[in-house]
Amino acid sequence: MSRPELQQAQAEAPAPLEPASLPAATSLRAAASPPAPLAADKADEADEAHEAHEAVEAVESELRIARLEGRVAALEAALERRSEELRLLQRHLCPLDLAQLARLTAGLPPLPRIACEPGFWRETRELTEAEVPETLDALWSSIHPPGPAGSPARASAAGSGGSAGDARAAAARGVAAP
Amino acid sequence: MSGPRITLVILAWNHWQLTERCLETLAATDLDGAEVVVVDNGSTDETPECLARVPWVRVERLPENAGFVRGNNAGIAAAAPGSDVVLLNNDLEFTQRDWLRRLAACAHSAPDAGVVGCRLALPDGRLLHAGTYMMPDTVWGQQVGALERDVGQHGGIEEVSGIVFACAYIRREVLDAIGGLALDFASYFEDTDYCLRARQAGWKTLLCGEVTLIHDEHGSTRDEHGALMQLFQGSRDIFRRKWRRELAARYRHDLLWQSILNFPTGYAMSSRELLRALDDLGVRTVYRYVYGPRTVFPPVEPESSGDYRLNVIRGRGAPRNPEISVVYGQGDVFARNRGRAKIGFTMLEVDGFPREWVAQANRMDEVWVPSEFNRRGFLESGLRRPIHLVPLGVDVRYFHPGIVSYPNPGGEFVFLALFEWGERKDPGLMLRAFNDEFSAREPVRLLCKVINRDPGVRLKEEIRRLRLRADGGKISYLFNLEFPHYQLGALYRSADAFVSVSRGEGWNMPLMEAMACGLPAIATDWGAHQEFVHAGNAYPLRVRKLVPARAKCPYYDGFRWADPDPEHLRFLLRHVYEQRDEARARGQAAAREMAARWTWEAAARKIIARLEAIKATAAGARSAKAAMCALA
Repeated sequence: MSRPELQQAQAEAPAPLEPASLPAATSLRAAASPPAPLAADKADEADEAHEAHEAVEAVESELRIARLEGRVAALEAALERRSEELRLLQRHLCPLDLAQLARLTAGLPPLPRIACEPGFWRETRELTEAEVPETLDALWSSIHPPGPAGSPARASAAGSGGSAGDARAAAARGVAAP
Repeated sequence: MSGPRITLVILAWNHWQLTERCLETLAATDLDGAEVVVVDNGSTDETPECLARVPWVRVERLPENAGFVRGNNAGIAAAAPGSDVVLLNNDLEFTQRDWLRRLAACAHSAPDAGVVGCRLALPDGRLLHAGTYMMPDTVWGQQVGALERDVGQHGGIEEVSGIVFACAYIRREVLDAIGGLALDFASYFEDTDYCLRARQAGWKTLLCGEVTLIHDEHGSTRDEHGALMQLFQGSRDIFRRKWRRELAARYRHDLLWQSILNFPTGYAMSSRELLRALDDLGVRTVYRYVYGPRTVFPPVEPESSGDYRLNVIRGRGAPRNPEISVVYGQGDVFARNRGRAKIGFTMLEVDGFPREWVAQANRMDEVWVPSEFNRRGFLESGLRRPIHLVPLGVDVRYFHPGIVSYPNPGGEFVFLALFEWGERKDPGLMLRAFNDEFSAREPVRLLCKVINRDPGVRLKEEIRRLRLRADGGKISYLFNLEFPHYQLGALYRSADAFVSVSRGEGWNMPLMEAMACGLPAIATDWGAHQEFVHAGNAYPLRVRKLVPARAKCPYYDGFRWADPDPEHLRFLLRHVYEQRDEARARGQAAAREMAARWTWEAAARKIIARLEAIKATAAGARSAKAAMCALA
């Protein structure tokens, strides 16, 4: 699994809730509304209304900033938690499991359970019994990982005749020689 | 119709739904005017009424179930005069339109072809039958290829000992010569009996692998297990009395084979193939494990080989004083040979043989090696005994261009390499050359099936040390996977070319298998495989010079092996990748040559020729001794 995939997994994590301590904007707006004008000079009234409006806007702006700062702080905290989780996983999971986790959290289907890259190997001297059709299907799928559910498989190489999805279906069946 | 006149005889007993499916699928094939006779073997369900509504079949109704043999004989008797007959079970399903035309062509492909069967597969796609054989020791018929996944094995025409009569094409001349099925049997063994009778009368039994039918085995007797077993045992007893002596008489030679069978080694794999081929050709082998204490192998070998025939051979009692014994293995176990005539059969990957091997070989009556490369090496190392070439082979029923493939759906050109990680295979040279020659953007990939059983080797570290470029040629690995040998053809067929870069080979079985599958192969131009590799059927890789063989294997000490040229390897990789038509043609030439010259049967025939020569020499010596005694 590549580093960008891990980052994508983090970025697509659900956004944290806003801090509960912030008051709702609508109630603030209501509290800061200017009083109704009395019988007085209309120009003075207009000035006063303008000033009151500016004051309300200033308060609203400060509140928006406070709310955004709160949201940033919450995201930072969530990111810190997530990073800590990932560091923990990285320490204890094998690279293939880590790749699977990242793909799953990113909404991608898992990779086939085959280690065709040395980084994914568990160093062993034991032989594992396997079947050729399933192994090759898994191998090709790991080289051209399936996209999100329903989308056709990616073909990384040029020169492929027909869709990769068709070819994979053919490969799954096995292709009889002419 | 221009071919022979044919009558299809379908035997049915109850289970109308099976007969109905059989007829429906049959009707969708090309029958070319063949007549269809359904023998209703006394069915008590709706079969008679339903058959009456099928206008294109002729029904022969028997009043009661007369059994498989009499039922089929009734069909044969009802067949159109002078016609060939095809006996068919009603639990068959026809999925191949030209099945009958191909069977008929096979049956008339040679004057002595008499009985023809086809591949039968289970509804789940596994192969059920590709002919039968019977060991006289147990008199229990075995189906060739049974329950293997169907990867296209046995796809050609081959002579077999017998076939099951779920589908049997019988030429009229055979029927005229030996009649119908033997009435000794109610059911079971009548098919093998028929094939043996045909053989006695001079007719061969063939498997037409171009035809595959689906056989829902025992569909019509599936509810009758107890009765079925009773039938089976009864028929087996009759068959044993009738044929056991005849079956045993097919063996013309006896041989003690001391080797290795049930471990995953090259000697074991080739030992298995040679024993099967020798058995087919009438050599009664007795097998004994030659390794054990004071060798690198465990004291005892696993009992089962997973192969009925080999298990029977392994279970045979060893003679006390065998006339001829072959030790097939490393030369330092030749001394364990127990025969009166002793043969040591071995090979090695370097340009000479260790002193201990030569010393033990010099105590043999003769020595066999598979290649001129080894013959030369043995003689130069001081061998003084007669030495003969006995090549190894390839099973072209499982390794041929018609085997199923599982190609890379990305469309990349795939080079395949199979090897055990170690100094001899020089994997670094191959991986670097490929990685340097190609770029990651090119649609080409090297797939390495790698085995590492050496606890001293950390493969990930070894590969990391090669510092392969991320933007270089792409390489994938199948690591420490063990496939059933019969499926390996599908692995080869899923690649476009084969690469075998090694410093030395004692034979190189994977290379031969890949070539038999029609892959263009790049192989080091030095070693035993030069016996079957040349510029007309492969791409020989230039060797710069011979260098001291430095490896963990103690047998190589003091000898030399090849130093393959990395620049030439890069050139060949690129050439095969770009000149695909030429490479394909060379692969096809390789497949033709392997099938024509390098089969296990050919190898077994060489062995038999040697056995006959040894016996003749021994007989000559005995006569000379007798003559001397008489003179004295």
